[in-house]
Amino acid sequence: MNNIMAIFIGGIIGGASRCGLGFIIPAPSGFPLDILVINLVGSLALGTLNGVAASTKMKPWLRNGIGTGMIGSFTTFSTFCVGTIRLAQVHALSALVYVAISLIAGPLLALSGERTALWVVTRKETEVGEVSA
Amino acid sequence: MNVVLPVLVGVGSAIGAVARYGVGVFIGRVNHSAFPWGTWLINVIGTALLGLFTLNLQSASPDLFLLLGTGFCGGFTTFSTLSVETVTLYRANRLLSLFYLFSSLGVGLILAWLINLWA
Repeated sequence: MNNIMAIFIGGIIGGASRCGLGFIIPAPSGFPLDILVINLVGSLALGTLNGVAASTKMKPWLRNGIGTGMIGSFTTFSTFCVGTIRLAQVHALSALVYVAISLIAGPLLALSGERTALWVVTRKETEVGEVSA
Repeated sequence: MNVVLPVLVGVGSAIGAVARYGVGVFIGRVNHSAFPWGTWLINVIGTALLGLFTLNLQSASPDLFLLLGTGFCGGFTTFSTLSVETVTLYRANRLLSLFYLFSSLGVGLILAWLINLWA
């Protein structure tokens, strides 16, 4: 499948999911909990995908469709920034907490996703190796 | 729930994602440093655009805002790649990875704040 086609289809799924979760996840006293959850789950997912892709023969279109398309569109930086400014105007401390959690947990979750994926895939390969040996 | 909403956001996001891929491939050809200029520029430009759309479209034309703002800008910019690239860059250059993370945020917030002041 074509890369662009896969990214487009993934983009629809990711964007619509972000929109859908926005309706489901509450915003306690105006705190953008939906975007926080979406960005952190997406960071974990993209780290995991990269770990899987690095240790398996994943097709480039599939990796692009899921990574660049679906997860990339699911998470958002623009709404994060605009939402932070909006939150800061009513509650500065909440805005600070929002930014701090996003920036610390985002990269850490991406790292743990990648590590976990590499660990699981390598362990599976070892098991298969032992069985076939 | 209105079905049109996720469709507008989904289509806008899909166009944003393809645009992000295109810009990323182009910047990747021009940029020979380890610094992820592609995502940096995409996030900063997308944030400025969303600020402008929030100001001019959100109440004036809610459907168009869903397509261009929540959809296109939301899909064009990305937080997951920012997280992953920060980790990747950290392995090569710790200081540069922190600069990447905080300059993305700093410039994004300043632009969103400045455009908001305009209102």
